[in-house]
Formats: sequence, structure tokens, C-alpha cells
Amino acid sequence: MQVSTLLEVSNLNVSIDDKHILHDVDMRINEGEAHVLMGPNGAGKSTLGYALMGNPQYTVNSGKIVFDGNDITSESPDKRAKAGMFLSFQTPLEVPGLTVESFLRSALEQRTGKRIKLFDFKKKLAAAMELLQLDPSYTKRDLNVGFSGGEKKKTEILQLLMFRPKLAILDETDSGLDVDAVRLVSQGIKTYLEEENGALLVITHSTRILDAFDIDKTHVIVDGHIVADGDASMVDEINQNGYEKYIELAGK
Amino acid sequence: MMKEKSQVESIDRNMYDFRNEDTDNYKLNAGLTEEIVDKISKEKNDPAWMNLFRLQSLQIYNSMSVPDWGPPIDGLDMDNIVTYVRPNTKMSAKWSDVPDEIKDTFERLGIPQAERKSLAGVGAQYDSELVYHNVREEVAAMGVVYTDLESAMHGEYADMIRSHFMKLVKPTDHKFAALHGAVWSGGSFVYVPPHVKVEIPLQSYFRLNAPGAGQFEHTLIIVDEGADLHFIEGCSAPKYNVANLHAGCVELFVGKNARLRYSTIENWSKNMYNLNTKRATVEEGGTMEWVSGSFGSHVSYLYPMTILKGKNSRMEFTGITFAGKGQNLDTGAKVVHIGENTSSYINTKSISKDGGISTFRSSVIVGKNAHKSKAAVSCQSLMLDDISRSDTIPAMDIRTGDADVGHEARIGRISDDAVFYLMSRGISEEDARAMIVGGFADNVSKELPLEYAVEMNNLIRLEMKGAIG
Amino acid sequence: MTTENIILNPLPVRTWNSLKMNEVKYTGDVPTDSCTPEITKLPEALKLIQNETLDNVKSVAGDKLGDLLQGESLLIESGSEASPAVINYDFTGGKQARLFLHAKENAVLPVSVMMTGEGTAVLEIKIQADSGSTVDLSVIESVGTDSDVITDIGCTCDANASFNLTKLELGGRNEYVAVSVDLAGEHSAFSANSGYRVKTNQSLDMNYVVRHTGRKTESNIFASGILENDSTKIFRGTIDLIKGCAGAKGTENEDILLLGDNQVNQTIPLILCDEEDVEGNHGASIGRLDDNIIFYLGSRGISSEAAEDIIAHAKLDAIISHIPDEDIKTLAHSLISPEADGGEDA
Repeated sequence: MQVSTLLEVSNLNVSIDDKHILHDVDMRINEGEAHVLMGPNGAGKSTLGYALMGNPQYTVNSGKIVFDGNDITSESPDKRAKAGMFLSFQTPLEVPGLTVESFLRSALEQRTGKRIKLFDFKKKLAAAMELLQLDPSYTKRDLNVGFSGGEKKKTEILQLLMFRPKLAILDETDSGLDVDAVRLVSQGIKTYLEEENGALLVITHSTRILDAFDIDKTHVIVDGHIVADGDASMVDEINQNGYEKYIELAGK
Repeated sequence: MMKEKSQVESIDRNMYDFRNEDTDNYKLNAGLTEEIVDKISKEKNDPAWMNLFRLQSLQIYNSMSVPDWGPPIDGLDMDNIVTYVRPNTKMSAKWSDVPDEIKDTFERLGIPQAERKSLAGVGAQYDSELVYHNVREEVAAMGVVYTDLESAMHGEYADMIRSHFMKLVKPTDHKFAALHGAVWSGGSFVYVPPHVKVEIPLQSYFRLNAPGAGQFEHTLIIVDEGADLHFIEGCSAPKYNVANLHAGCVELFVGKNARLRYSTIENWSKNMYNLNTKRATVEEGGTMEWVSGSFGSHVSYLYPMTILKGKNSRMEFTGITFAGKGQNLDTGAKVVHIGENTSSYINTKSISKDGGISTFRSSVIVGKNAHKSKAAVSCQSLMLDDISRSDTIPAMDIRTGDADVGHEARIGRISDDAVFYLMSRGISEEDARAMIVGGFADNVSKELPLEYAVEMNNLIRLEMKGAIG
Repeated sequence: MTTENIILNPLPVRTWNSLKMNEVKYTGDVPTDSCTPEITKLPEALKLIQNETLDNVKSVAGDKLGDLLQGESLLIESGSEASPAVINYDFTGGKQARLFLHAKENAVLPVSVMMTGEGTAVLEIKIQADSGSTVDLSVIESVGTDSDVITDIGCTCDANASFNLTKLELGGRNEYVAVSVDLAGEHSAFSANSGYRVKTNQSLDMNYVVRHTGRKTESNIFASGILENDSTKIFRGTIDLIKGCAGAKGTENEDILLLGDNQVNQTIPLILCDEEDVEGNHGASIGRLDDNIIFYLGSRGISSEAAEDIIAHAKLDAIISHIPDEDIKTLAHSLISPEADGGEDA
């Protein structure tokens, strides 16, 4: 099977409010690969996620993001999403007045540019909700409004299952979840990987969620620099020794 | 209980209610004519332009009608208002030169003490004239001008005054602004040169002593680019049976990146019609802060207005109004956002008690070009019994799509649970309620210099005495 | 048809005249022709009486309007059944209509009113809710966009009665809505859900006044809408807590989404209070769609224009969900998104 590049980030420099956060970031993710981005607090992990998704609050000063063969560096977030990129937010936004169901349907219709058949939609939704053990009444609630931390994270994974992107960037999806919720969320991610042959970039500082699937590559970011790339064993190594060694690397 | 109540009411305002025999040897006939205005002008040795300005204002005054909204002002009969009263003294820069009788008044009000407590300057207006004026030397040395407006009109700042006087509050604004333009008398002029930061507050004090009189002082403050000033104004008057009128005017010019805080504690006697007009304009990056406590007066119309002209300019208004027996206090604030990225925050509390009426009235206008501006209004009212009244009339007019405007209003009462909680800790009901009201008013008290915060809390405590029964 | 120059929607307590919010001057026509109601649904239990009126219900549309409303009228009296009556008024050519609703003791009276056609439309609805009764009224205005529309609704509630109003403003050029509610009996309640979408060069002028006289009465006014480029809206909302209404609670909330520019958006929420033991609240949030929400929805593949549209629809959908009649609900859905109809199960 021929391996083709899905995401190619080269020399990416990103700032927010004139503060330079990411420095010369390079990263390549192939189709179907699972990558992990690790790093201490404030290293720029979430910034990379936002920059990849095109959050307008972040400015790309230089560098390029090529996704699925197209340069998307200056594309709007919705174009990136339509191209197959997905970002699960660390703190998902509350949108009063917009129910989960009508949101999912609108988003699907927008992504595909086609009207979605209600029957198919409901079937797919019911399956995804069952997988995540979400109560059916939940689709009638306003998006993320009054949701518990766990419900919000599950909603993000529900969207992942409904949208089936080519690349999912998961930002601290397991933080603040109890063991059962982590299991369900991991199950959701696994289903996505298996059924879609989707690629994954997991942003995390814990490893609980990483037990659920095989990791192809690990990146370590410190002070906005990618200081090391490696295989899955790096995760265990960091678990044991922490970031000290990498912080020294960045200091050089 | 009833007995204590009446006793409390009689000592209530004792501190402010002493009055001097009305010995003024100079008093104009009641009523307002061109002759009177001319006479005032001559007495004051007005420059020609001011004389003309007064006469034009009189014409405007005669052509305008009283407002068709707000509390009734039927008790105010302009024909019986003595518009000009002047005590037997000339302006003085030394406390010892002030006549004993007047000095006694101010001693009792604590003005010189306040000055000794490191206030940068004090101006005291007794009826219509400024009788005592002093700026501490170091403040004067920084180039800060704090003087009475009348003499300043003839000095080196004559042109500055002419180009600013009633340009912000025009005589055409409303009937009482026109009246002010015609008969204004006394008041202060402050100029803070560029980048001068006045660390300690300047203060002025107005006191109206003659029965049936009017006070029409004009305050003009110009804070130049990058400068910083805190100005405090206090007002009081003894009680007479005839209505008194206060139609002052305050014009504030806040320069680029400058900051002005204007604090007022108003405790006019409860026969006063307080129809005061205050307005500020703020240039780019400037900040206007209002702190306002309204406790006195029979009727008040008071809505300091801020024009956020320059981009990134901002204003904050913090106010409290306490309407007791026989009072109808209509207070609030106005703001006009003109520049981009301007912000305003209006935060008021009002309390009504013993049949008092308090009305919060505001207007927030966000103009077409005030992109990305923010405006927030929060008003809370407390009703202390079921014979009082509290109204909230906030208007908003938003003309740009990308403004962020929020508003919240709440009317309620003292929670029985809170009173019970405090009483269960051994506090009397009266004190418990006073504590809760004091806490309710802390938005203002924490913005005031200590001695004023103490004075304000004393006023609240006095007002709260006998609240039960 | 007479051309009139009348004052509509006066604020119960005046404020600065320079704001031009105290009232509105109406310079259009007040048609004298009566509009014939088309009754599309009428449960058996409801009783129809032609040309009978309820005279004691107040109006806040302005003194003069009442004098001009002398045409034919229809009175619906409640029965025991709770299924909705549906009435359609076609105002084509310029018409006036008068509808009276009387819910008898402990009855439930659900009524949906559609306003359609091209031409000046004046609709008066007066309601008497006897003790323990419930009136569910929905009024959907989708009159042609060249038409002036005046809706004058008044209701008096006796003890334990409730009046629920759902109001959708979708058409019209200049639209005037007056809603007056007297919560006279204790424990009576009023709830209003008003949704609107004011399009370019249209205007909407509202005057809601709730008078709480009964003890422990409750009112809740929610107005949620969308203002497009060059549109004009004023919301006057008054909660009047009158002496003796101990334990009363009044709340009004406004939620306005601005799409585009150059809107005139005026709001004046009054709380008048001369009773101690009450609660009055008002809140307003006015603004564009939050940038973070645009990004969040964008990250799900929704363009910012589509996001605005989705949120706008969601706001109106939330209002529509209060309509008692399912058919009218479906119809209302199709009115707010005409391009989407029929697509559901395709």
C-alpha cells in the first residue's frame, strides 16, 4: 500500500497579540497515522491545534500548512473542516438556542453541500450516541449549554463520529474525565480510526487515552519549538523521566 | 418606637441644618429680567462676550418649556426665586481672612480639616460667591491652576475659558442650562497641564445658606494630554420652608490619554430643587470616572453625561442614590460612544425609603462609527418599605453592528434571611438592615477617599435610623 | 380607508424626548374594511359569537387607535377541550380585524392566528382569562413586505389564570406591536415569547406593558430577534409592579443578533415599582455572533455566513417551539426557511 502525506507543516511561525508562540514547526502526518504531541504546560500545544484549524486570533507569520495536497495556510476554518480536518476543543463553546441535533445536521449539510436524508442521519446519530452511551434526550439540548465537562468532551467525539474527518486533532480530550468516560471516548476514537482509516494528532500531557490505540509517532514541543520526534516508546520514556531533558534541549 | 423615630429625624440632619442669619446686604429682586441679568453681569465685571452670552441665554430660557418627563417641579416658582445672593465678603486665600460667621459654617462642615487631611486644594462657595480658595503650593508649582472662574476670565486663561465655557453644555440644551447661562455665578476653574499627575484630590464645597435662593456655580475643568486629576465636590444647604434651586453646570474636558475622576457627595437640604447639568468629553485614550452619591434635595434631575469622542476612550460611572421621605430623586447617567473601540460601564445602586421615590434613568447611545465599542449598564434598586417607589428607565440606542452591549436591572428588597442571619449573630435588626444597606452601597463607598466614604456611611446610618417600626 | 396621523405605542413613563423613544407617529392608513376570518380549525367545544366584544380590556397601542377599530368582530368562548383553534386573516387590500377571546373559569383556550396577504393590516385581539383558565395564543405575522402592520393585543387575567403569547414577526414593512397585560388576580401569570427577523429597510416597533396588581403574579417577557442591514427596531418593555402586588415577579429579557450593519436598535426596558416585596429583572444582550462561536462552528465546516444563518434560525426555532398547534408550528418553520421546505425526508 502506498503511503501518502495527509498533513505537511513546514517552518510554521505563529503569534497571538504580537507574541511569538510557535517557532519553525515542521510536522508530517501520513494517512491513517496516529501522532502524539506532548509537552509541558504553555509549550504551545494548543496553539498548534488552533493554528492548524485556522483560529483567526492566531497569526501565521511564516511557513506553510499543506493538507491533502492543498495549501490551506490562509483558508478559513470552515474550508479546512470541509477539506477533512477536525479539532476537538479543550473547552467546547456553548451555543444557546442551537440544539445538538440541528447543529449536527446543519454542519453535515454544510460539509457535504447536500441535503442529508433525515432517516439516514437519525440512524447514524443513534448509533454514535449508543456507542458513547449518551441519552437520546440529549440531542434536543442546546449545544454544550449546561453540559458537564464529560458531556462536552463526549459531544466532541460524537461530532468526530458523525463528521468522519481525514485528520482529527484531539486537544486534551481526556482531561477531567473519569475512568468510564475515558473508556467511552477512547472507544469512539478507536471506531473512527478503524472505520475511516483516519489520521490522528493527539495533544495531551497524560497517557491514559493513548492506551486505546497504536501510536506511530511522538513529537515533543517545548517553548514553541518541536525539540524531538520519535516513535511510540517516547511516550513511556517521558512518562518516566518527564520533560527535563527536552527543556534542556530547547535551552540550547 | 414612634418617639425614637421623631427624635432621630430631628437630630438626623442637625449637622447640616444650622443656618446663619440672612444678613446679606445685597439681594436682587425676585424674578428674572434682562435688567437683573445685566446687573449681575456688571457686578461681576464680565467681559463683553460674557455679558452678551448671558443675555442670549436669558432669551433661550424664556423661549423654552420645562421638561415633560421626570419628577414634578411645580413647587418651583421661578418668579419667586432670588437668583443672586452674595455674602459680605471678598474672595480670600487665607482662612483667617474669612469672616467668622462663614468660617464657623465651614468649620462645622469640616472643610479646613479636610484640607489639612492632605487635600490638594479647597474652594468653598457660600451662596453665589467663592469665599475661600487655596491650592497647595506644590500643586501650584506643577503648573496646576485652581481658581475661581470669574477672576480667571480676566487672567492669562481668558481665551481658554472663552473657548470652552458652555461649549459642552449649551444653553439650548434645556431650560435650566439656559437659566444657568444667564445667571451663573461663582464656581471653579481647573487646568492641569500636559502629563502632570496630581496625586492628591482637589476639592470644592458648595453651600447654600439664604432661603429661597439659587446657586448657579460653574465648574470648568480641563485636563490636558496625559494628565491626571481627581476632583471632589460636596454640596449641602440648611433647610428652609421655601424651595431653593441649584442649577449648576459642570464641564469637563479630558485630553488625550488623560484621566479625570470626578466625585460628588450631594447632601442638599430636602427643600432643594437640584437641576444640575454635568458633562464630560473624552479624547483618544482618555478616561473619565464619575463617582456620585445623591442623598439630599427634594427633587433631583441629575444625569452626568460622557461623550467618548476619541478612539479607545473610556468611562466609568459609579453612583448611589438614597431617596427618603419627601424626596423624588431622578438620577442616572448618559453616555455617547462616538469613537472606535470605546467602552463605558454604568453601575448604580438606588435605595428608597419612607415614601421616597428614586428613579434610575440612563441613555446609552452607540454611534455608527463606534465600531467594537462596549457598553454595560447595571442598576440595582432596593426598596426598604412598601410606601416608597423605585423606577428604572434605561434607554439604549445602538447604531453599529459590532458593538457589545449588555444591560441588567434588578429591583428587590432586603432579604429576610440575611437580616435573620445577622441577627442570629447578635446584631439588632436596625443595625443588621443598616449593614446590609451599607454593603449594598459599597460600589460607591469603596471608590471614595476614606473621609468621604466615612461621611457617606454616616449619612446612610442616619437615614437608616428608625427604619423599623 | 382613512389616512391617519396618530401616536402609537406610548411609553407609560416618558424620558428624554431627544431619544425619540417615547412613542411613534404613525402616518399610514387605518383601513375601515373588516377582514373576514377564515377559521381553519375549530374544536367543537369552542363557541363562536359574531360581533360581540369584551370592553374592559386595556390597550397600550395609543388612545386614538381604539376609536378607529369599529369593524366586525368575532368572540371565541372556551369549552372544555384543549385542542387549538386556527384562524387565518388575509388582509389583502388593507383591512382591520377584531378578535375577542374569553376563557371561562378553569378552561383552556389555545388559539393560533395567521396574518397574511398584501395591504395594511390592523389586528386587535382582546382577551379575558377568567380564574384558573389558560389562554395560549400564537400570532404569526407574515403579511407582505410592502405592508404596514399594527397588532394590538390586550389581556386581563383573573386569579390563577395564565396567558401565554407567542408572537412571530416575519413580514411587514413597518410593524407596530402593542401588548398590554393586566395581571389582576393573584397568582396569575403572563409569558411572552417574541421572535422577529427585521430585514433591510423594515422597521419593528414594540410596546409591551405588564401591570402586576395581583399578589404573587408573574410575568416573563422574552424577545429574541435578528436585525439585518439597515433595519430598525425599538423594544419598549414595561413591568409595572403596582402597590399590593406583594410577591410578584417580573422579568424581561432581550437577545438581539445583529447581522450586517447600519441598524437602528433601540431598547427601553422599564421597571416601575411601588411595592416592596417584589422582584423585577431585566437583561439584554446585543451583539454580533461571537468570534469564538464562529471559529468553533467554522472548525466543523460551517462558513461564517452559514453560522449566522444557523444561529438566526435557531433563535426563531426556539420561539416557534412554544406554538401550541403542530400544523402551525410546521408552517412557521417553513416560513423562516422557505428554501428548506420539503427537504426533510427527501
